[in-house]
Amino acid sequence: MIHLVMKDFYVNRKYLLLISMLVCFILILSGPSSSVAIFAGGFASYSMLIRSCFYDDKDKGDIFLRTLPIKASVIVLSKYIFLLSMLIIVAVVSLLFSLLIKEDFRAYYMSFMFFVPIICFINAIYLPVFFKYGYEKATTYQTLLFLVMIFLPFGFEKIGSLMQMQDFNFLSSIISLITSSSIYTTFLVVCALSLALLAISYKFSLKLYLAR
Amino acid sequence: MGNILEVINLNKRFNSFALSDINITLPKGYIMGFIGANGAGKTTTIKLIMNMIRRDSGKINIFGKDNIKYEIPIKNKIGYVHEQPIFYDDLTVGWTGNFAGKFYSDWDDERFNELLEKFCIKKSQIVKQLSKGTKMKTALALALSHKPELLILDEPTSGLDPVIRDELLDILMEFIQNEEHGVFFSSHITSDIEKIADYITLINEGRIIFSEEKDKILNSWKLVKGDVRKIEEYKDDLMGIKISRTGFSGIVEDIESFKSRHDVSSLVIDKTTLDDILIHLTKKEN
Repeated sequence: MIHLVMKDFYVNRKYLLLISMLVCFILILSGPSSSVAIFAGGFASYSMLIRSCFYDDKDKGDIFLRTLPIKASVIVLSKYIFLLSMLIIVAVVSLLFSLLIKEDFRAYYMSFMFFVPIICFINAIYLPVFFKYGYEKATTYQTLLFLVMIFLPFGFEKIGSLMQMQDFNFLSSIISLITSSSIYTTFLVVCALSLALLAISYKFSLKLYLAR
Repeated sequence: MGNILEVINLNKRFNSFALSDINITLPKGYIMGFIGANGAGKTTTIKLIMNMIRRDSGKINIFGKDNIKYEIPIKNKIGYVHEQPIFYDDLTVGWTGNFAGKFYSDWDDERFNELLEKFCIKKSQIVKQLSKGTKMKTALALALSHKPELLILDEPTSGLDPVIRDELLDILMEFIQNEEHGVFFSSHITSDIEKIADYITLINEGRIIFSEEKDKILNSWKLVKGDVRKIEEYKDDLMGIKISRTGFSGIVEDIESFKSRHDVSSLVIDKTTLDDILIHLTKKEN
């Protein structure tokens, strides 16, 4: 497993360097903020994963891997572990950044709780499509995902304004639960939900991959 | 001596193509040539043997064990070479060997280095900068460095020049000196197969036409040619009849039996080559 994850980092090493520079550039432009760091880092994680899928498809790495004594489940799981590794790196670096700039922790936590589930959600949908159809066919789908990523914040805004106008009991109760719980509890719940989402996605990916 | 590879009643259906009732048996110590036209089902069969795609029904035993249930220990003992050797293009030969070696329990780094040296390949070379022949040799070095017992080669000689093809055949001959080893070698270049194979399996449109010892095929199968006006007399006993303005030709599986039923004085009976068999049994008439 570890070798597959390291392979994904290694084949993306130049891209990783480039995207790290881009994140730094965004931080310079926007001013020091852990929210921006998490957003840019989360986006970088997403694009790194897509890039690793692209490499596997371009070089038919999948065929190479399937000839080695590696279980199909390990090949599929390695993509999820790669994503989680990226997210952990982003979370830790952003936390250190937040400490460095002496920012209010609440800003860091709120950004984490907003962006990390979004990245997990997008990848949880993308990866089963990739394992079923490969990168090329998933490209169109990926474009749609980008559009969703871009317009999702506006969607939240809209939902928020709708909630003010109408009585959305279910959503209201979730929001009030989040706001009434301690920030640490919410943090753990968000992490657990994101992991559960990825676990479900992994099950789908494996099933689709084995059925090819 | 046991069988190193057994494919029993294997079936796999796609939208526009199906493999039907594939049966192949390769005993230890032998090389099997797997021939057929492009699109006949060779690569699909190999993918199924390697458990890269899921079979619909049937059974595949490698080293006497089911290839799905014992996938990992089986792959640990298989060396696989694809028509277009597949690695990560931007990485070096050394990195690729180092990476692949981590998954094999019997990976021998020294053997890998020796083979690279023998093939004049530098570990620092980047895969995408290698020629097709060198990529093939790299794939062979990878396939031979973990002490495999079965080599599976999917069209390894296609697109290679005769010198490299000959080198590759020599390597296979050297590998098969160990009687516990086996080679399953697909190709549409029948001259390569004719040189080294002990068994021949011919596949056409997803069905096995025959799977037999090469010598038996080349000794008993004959190419029969005759005057086109007399074709009616022979056509029921000929396979893959080709008709031209000057005459007809067809394949006879058992020439002695054919001679006992027909007057062959006006026919020309020639030895067959695998090419003749492949052309007559698989080429569609316009």
